[in-house]
Amino acid sequence: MLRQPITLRVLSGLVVLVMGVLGMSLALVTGEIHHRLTLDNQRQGLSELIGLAVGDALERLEEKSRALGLVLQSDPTFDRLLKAGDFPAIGALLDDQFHQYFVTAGEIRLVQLRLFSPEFKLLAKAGKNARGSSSPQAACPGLLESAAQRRGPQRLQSLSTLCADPLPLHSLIVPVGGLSLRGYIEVVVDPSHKLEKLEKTLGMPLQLRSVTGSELYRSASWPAAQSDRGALSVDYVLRGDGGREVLQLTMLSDVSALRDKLAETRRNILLVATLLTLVVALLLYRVLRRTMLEPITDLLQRLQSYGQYDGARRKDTVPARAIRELHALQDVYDTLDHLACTDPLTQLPNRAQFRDFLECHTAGDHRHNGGFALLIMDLNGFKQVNDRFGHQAGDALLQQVAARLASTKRRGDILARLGGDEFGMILPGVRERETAGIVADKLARGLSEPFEIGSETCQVGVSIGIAFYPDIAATSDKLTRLADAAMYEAKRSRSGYAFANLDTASAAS
Amino acid sequence: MRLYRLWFAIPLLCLAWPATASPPGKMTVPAAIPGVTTLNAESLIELVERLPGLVLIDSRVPADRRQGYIQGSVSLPDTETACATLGDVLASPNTPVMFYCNGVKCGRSAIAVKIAKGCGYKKLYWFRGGFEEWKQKGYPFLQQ
Repeated sequence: MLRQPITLRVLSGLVVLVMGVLGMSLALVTGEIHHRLTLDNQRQGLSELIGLAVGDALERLEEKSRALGLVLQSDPTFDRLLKAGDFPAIGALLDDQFHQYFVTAGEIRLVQLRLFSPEFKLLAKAGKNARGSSSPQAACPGLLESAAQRRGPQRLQSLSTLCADPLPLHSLIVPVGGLSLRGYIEVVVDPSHKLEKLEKTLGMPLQLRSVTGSELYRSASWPAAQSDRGALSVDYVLRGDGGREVLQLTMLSDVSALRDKLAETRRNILLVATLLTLVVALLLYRVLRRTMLEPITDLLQRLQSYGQYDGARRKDTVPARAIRELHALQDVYDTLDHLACTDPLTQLPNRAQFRDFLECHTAGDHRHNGGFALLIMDLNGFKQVNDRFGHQAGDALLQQVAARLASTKRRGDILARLGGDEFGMILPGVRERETAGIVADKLARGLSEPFEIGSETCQVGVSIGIAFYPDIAATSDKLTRLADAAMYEAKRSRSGYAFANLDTASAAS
Repeated sequence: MRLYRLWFAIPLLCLAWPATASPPGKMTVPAAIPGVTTLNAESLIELVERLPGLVLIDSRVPADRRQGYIQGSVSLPDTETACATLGDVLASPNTPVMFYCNGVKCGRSAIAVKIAKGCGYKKLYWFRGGFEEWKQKGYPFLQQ
């Protein structure tokens, strides 16, 4: 899998970009979750509100049913007929109720009225019976049975239930006769009648459906198209005894204002998230660039510059490293840099660094406009010392030579070991032969004293070639060449030192 | 000096006034009346089953009774309760009789039952919770 390697810069950019995309996705998802949660919350709240209103409506319904049962038995005719046991006449009286106050005034929607003995034997009835006229069953199964099982004072209490047949029914059993129980009246009504009024109570369009899904009622204001965006549909299932479903209510709440608000909130969240992501991404990129990219690029460039004589190489100071690994890398670099620029034997700058200094001084830009003198020094008789006393002695001699030369140089002069027994020196500001000659004499005198190498004593001389910048040459290469030639001239003539001139230059080339 | 005392006494008197004033009109009736059996709704229903001849007397004024009453009860407000009027509805001093009114804040049945006791009736019952308890427990009642 050959691929073009990507740069750290691109990689960091990608990382920041991916983080930004993730941040934005998170903001989008958060906005959507907030949107849904709010609508769910609204739906939940409305459902609870509908539940309360339904409970209230059913309570009122039961009150009305009970009132019908009580009014009926307050009727002296009913009392008389019951005492006489004239049940067909009571049946007619029950039938009359379908055309009297409670029904005509719209208090209840009566479905069935039945009279039972205290032992729940059917005595008289009126109205529809979905289960067949001869059925002794109550409209809602189980109600009569649970009523018959009651003992003691409980028998005087009324009992009600909700059921689906499949149309919703509310059945209430009211005792007859007060303290001396004489029977029960069962009042069966359609609860949807009272629930229809919730559209006014709650101010929302309403739809009622039976357990089979058939529509029982629908508000006039119910929208034709269900896909109305501004409406929140809230379902509420009305359950009877045992949790059986009796009826389903659906109400539509106008939430267009809420939806607008939610959309606005979502926009705001996105906007803030975008801004934050941008700021964080920029900051992150900046921090990455400052702490990693730039130092690594910088180190890389410095390492790459070895082997190329780049005058600017050591001019920059390396920035402080905030990252521990980079810090370690910097230390390694510094060590390498030191090794690369320093002569290990004498601890003087090596030829590469001397070259850099020269480049720097001949760049012609700054403080060294005053020019300088370049001295190239080569020891006389070093080879003999080496041959006679060995390399170790030679090395020790070079160290001592370096130390003497260093002690002679002024502050600001640059001394380097160029290799073998060759040394170089830059004397900034020196452009006269006289001054340079004095320095060369001083150097030669310094080296003329005998050297103590272990138990041996030896003596070396030095030949010095001197070239002036910019008088003799304007480039470091040429200057070096001329100084070298002058040094060889000095060595040849055993004059100690010689100045470079264009003649030596032509001789050198 | 006397004037200072007066200034000091007036606020004190004002503070003490509620204590010396007569108690609020609606007080809770006593938990029991000596010589009278106190009933609740359930013990009343059981008593009716045991004593079919029990007479139920509604001691409330007609305006209250119109809100609803226990079926079979006779209206005899406490203001009209006396040995003579009781004699009209109770056959003998041994006839069991129960008094009720609106509830524990209504003193009428307590007054009536004390009058009946004074008239020498022996089997006295007092439905202390009255119509409020009856209705609240879901027992049937009639309305005029």
